[in-house]
Amino acid sequence: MSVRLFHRHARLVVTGATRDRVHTWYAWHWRPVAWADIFAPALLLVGFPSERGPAGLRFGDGSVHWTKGPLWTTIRLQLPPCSDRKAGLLASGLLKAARYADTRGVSICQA
Amino acid sequence: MPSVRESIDIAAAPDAAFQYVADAPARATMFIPGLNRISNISTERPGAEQSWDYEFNWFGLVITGNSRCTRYEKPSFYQFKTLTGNPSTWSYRFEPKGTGTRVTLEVEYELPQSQLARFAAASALEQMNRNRAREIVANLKALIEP
Repeated sequence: MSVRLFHRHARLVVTGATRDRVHTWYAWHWRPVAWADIFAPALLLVGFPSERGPAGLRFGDGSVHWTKGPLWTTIRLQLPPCSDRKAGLLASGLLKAARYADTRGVSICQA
Repeated sequence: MPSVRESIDIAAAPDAAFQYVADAPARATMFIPGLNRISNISTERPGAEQSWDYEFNWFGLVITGNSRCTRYEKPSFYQFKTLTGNPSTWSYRFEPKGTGTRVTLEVEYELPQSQLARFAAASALEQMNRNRAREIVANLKALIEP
């Protein structure tokens, strides 16, 4: 057991604008991140199988895309049509995955 | 040991609601506020004895520990215990109600006296836990129903 003020191995992901169910997040990192390997399992947990693209995933009528910068990645999440509460849960669940999903040992070839 | 108990009616069969809660421990990060990470799941096969590590943000303090499923009685009852971190017992009961399911969550927990007593009164912490339990069952309803 341990009690701390900070999460170990967490990524710094800050939230930007949210408009028309499109969420923008900025992830700061020193090494490439395998975003597909982070978001695809998280989407599957809530019943959304996803299709991988070169820099994004499509799931139902929603999508998540990422654009790499030198030290950060801009992530855009487009939520599918659903209730406001479910949309909020999808967004917060995927944001948790972006921040806390453990990818140590995961290949980054699809990042 | 203090406990909180919350129920909600969900428009889904008991079997479907049970599977949603019990068949993938990592799914809990999607509907439990503050539960940020589930890792080291002992086996993909759900059932009693399945165990995992958790990382929970409890109102600003990050608590890590290990959990183990203690009862897996499909489709009516699911229970796990957090063995280290902050000891607690989480029990989900699934009862048919009309064409849907009444889901009841009961959480028995120990107040982490040594770390938190200085920050808030026990009654305030209990109210926070009660609100969180209410939020969990409402989140389950939102995610399970179409």
